Amino acid sequence: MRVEGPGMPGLLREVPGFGVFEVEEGAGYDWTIRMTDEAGDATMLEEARRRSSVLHSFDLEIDHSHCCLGRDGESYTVCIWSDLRGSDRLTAVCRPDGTALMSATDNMGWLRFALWMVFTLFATPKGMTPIHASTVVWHGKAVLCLGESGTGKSTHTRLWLDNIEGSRLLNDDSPILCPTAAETMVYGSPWSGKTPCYHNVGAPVAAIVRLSQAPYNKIERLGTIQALGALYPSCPPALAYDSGYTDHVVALLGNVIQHTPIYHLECLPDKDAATLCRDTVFGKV
Amino acid sequence: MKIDNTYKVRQVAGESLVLVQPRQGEEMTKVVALNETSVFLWDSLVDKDFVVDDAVALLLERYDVDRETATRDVERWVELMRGAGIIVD
Repeated sequence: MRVEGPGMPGLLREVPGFGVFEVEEGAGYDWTIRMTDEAGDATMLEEARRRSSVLHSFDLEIDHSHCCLGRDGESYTVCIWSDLRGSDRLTAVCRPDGTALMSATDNMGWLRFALWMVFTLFATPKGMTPIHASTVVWHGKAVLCLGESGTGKSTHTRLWLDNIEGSRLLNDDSPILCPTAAETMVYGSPWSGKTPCYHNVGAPVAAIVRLSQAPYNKIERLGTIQALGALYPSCPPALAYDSGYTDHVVALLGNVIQHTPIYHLECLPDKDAATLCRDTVFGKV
Repeated sequence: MKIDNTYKVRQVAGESLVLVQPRQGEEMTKVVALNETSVFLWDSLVDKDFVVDDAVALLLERYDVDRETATRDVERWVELMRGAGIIVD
């Protein structure tokens, strides 16, 4: 992905997480985002925003901000604004040819999130998606932990790091899930939630585990239908309001389910939960 | 009644599934799995306004089943699909 415009790429190097993903100029890219502060572009962005039909509006955890995903013909629009910033607004238009135009911003939180949205909109039709997961790698293979906010994803992977020798964190919030013909891969990303954990590496996925809190530890493997129900809510929620994107996500998850075991782990926040999970996924050692 | 046309049957790893987005106060997406008969009813009735007897007639025509059983099955199917919010008035 290429990001160009005023201050780029220097500005992006200052946003936590992005530096390690930088590649050499000329390395090739699938998508281009042009940041702009020109008046003509601003008018074009504003017109696209006004034309858009709203797919989904939601709140962001940053600066009392909100985000709206819209559709303008074959293009998708992303708009971010804040209760605290008056008429200031970030608008991005993603076109089907893989180019995006985005208003320049000095708000790093907005920039991070807007780039996540644009990446998501471009990547998902190509068969890869960010997934809300805390991800550990052990012996070269990844385990993704999913769950609603507050379930204890990070707590569980922390228990791996503390108790299972050789395990390390790949990403704590939004790694990229990418099924291929033969296996499911997961990659680090510049988006890792509150934990600064940015690694420009990938690993084959050994298992994906949906967590829920319980007064005991119990793990079971899910069949196709339950597996889809476990994975789908952890994919980018806004896409669920667009039929075409839902098709992409469901197709992608169908591929994941064919290669990769999906489990439900009901657990306590203790060492035994991590050990049970490892022994189930990798076999007893 | 009719099938809410915002829903769509999707093929996933050999299963026919309908994803139902969480409504206010619910947390999780529901995944409704359709068996072969349910897919047949869906395909025949989607985009139509129908009553129980229409669905019963479809089953009688397609399957070797008596009217009483077909009616009972359709009523159960409608109840489940209504519960999931897929069939609406």
